[in-house]
Formats: sequence, structure tokens, C-alpha cells
Amino acid sequence: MFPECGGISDQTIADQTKVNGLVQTARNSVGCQWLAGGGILGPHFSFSWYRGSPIGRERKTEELTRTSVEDVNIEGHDGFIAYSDDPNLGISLCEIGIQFNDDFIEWSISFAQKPYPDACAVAKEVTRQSIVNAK
Amino acid sequence: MLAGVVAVLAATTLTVGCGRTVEGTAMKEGTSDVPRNDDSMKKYPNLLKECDVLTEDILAKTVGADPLDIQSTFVGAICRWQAANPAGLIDITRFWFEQGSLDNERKVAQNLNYQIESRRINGVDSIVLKTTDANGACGVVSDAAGVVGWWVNPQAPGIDACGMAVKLMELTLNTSS
Repeated sequence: MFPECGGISDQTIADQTKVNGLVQTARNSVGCQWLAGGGILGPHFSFSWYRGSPIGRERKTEELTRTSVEDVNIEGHDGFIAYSDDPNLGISLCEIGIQFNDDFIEWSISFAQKPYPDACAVAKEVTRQSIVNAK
Repeated sequence: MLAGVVAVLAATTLTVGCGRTVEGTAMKEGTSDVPRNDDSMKKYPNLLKECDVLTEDILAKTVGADPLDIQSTFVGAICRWQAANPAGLIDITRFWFEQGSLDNERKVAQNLNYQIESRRINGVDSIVLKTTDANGACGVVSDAAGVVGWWVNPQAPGIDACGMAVKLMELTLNTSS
């Protein structure tokens, strides 16, 4: 069982992403979303918890669209890490999906302007904390 | 998956799809033995279709927004949109977990200390969920080929999120019957 938002607070998202003015625009049983100023123009950060949904389908969509998708293991759990390398922004988008039997969780980290911290490092850290927060 | 590159994916899929035969036997949705592993080589014919059960026009209208004021932000088995109701921005979440169950969704809601009300929507067993959110966030989950759910998260108070979520579910269950 994961707590809301994988147990990741607004403060942790702000600290990890270094983005000011983030607003939590969705908080519910399947995840949370944070947007700058509450609007869609700008960076997007989200946590999602899929219950009874195959991670393979999600991974497939990533493989069709992202620059790279590789296996990853975080805190002993397997999954994928995907990133996109934007010609102007660099690797500004990183998504990690981690499987838990029939479930999986996904963290999506997407920056909209430079400078920004390592997107995959942020994704890995919030994923790690979410797994630790699970009961 | 973040929705930013959906257009690119759609274009790619279209090109690849031209003149290509997909092997296999046609099966009714939900009858296949969906693998639990991450075998990404599997072909998923409904890839990305799941967010399109209701058109964005209908979504916008249901939450009191202009059809031009809605934008997809996330796609897959969980889809997200943001729509602009005159009273405030509204985040809409839809999910469809084909191997999920209403019982499991109820357990998760209990674990999150949500207010849970059982009801039938279009004759289908459902639960209406409320959080402690000051803006009245409300969700609806129904027992339909796994579970399907809608959440409405307003960014301002005074919006009938439960009414909107229930309406979205009624439309969804109409479409799939």
C-alpha cells in the first residue's frame, strides 16, 4: 500500500526539482500531479499508482516515444527508466516505472526550461523514497 | 506517461501501421491472459486509446469548461487532463485497471481514510470517494471489466466535483455497454 502521492510532500518535490511556485493540482487514489502555478505551461511532475494494470503496456508506450528505455532496479524492485533527450533542453524528461506484482508505480519528471537538476536523478530519488514509504 | 509527445507517437503508429498485418486471433477485450511481466514486445492493440473513451469536448462540457480550454497532461491506463471552469482550474483523472477490482479500490480508499459511499451507477456497482481536500475533490470507481474510475480535483472551492465525476462515469458506462 502506498500513501497518497507515494508519501512525497510538496516540500520534497520543491527541494528535489528546484522549481518555485509548484501547485499540487491533483491528489487522489491513483496519484498526484504538481504544476508550476497550477497550470499546464511549464514543468510537470507526477506520481501514479496502477493497481491491476500491466507495466509492459506502459513500457511499450515509452519505448515508442522516448530516446532511451532501460531496465532499472530500485530498492530491490525491478522496472524501467525512460528519458527523452530534447534538442534544445537536453534530458529534461525522465520517467521510472517499478513493478509490484500486478501493480506498478510511475514517477514522471519533466522540466520545461534550463537550468534544471538531473531529471533521472530526481526521478530515482522520489521513486526510492516512495518505495520506502510503502507499507 | 507524460502526454507531451502523444502527437509524435500517434504519427509514428500511423506510419508503421500502414499495410502491416498483425498476426493472431481476434479476441474479446479482457479475455486474454494479460502477462504480469514487463514483456514489452507484446502488442497492445488498444495502446493509448484508453484516454479517448470520452472525447475532450465531452470532458470539458461536463466540468463546465469551454471545449477549447482542456488539455491532456498524462496518458496510459491513468489519464489526466486540465480544464478551465470559470470558477477555477479542474484536474480530471481517469483510470482503467483491467485486472483491478472494486474490492481492492475500496481497500485502498479505506487505507487513505477517504469517505466512501456505495452506489449503483447505470446499474453497475460503484463507490463515490471524497478526500479531505478543501476544494472538494471527488472520485467515482465502478466495477467494469476490471475497474474504471474518474477523479475531479478542482483548484478552487464551490465546484460540484462529485456531480461531475458521477456524470463522467454515467457517460463512460453508457459508452461501453
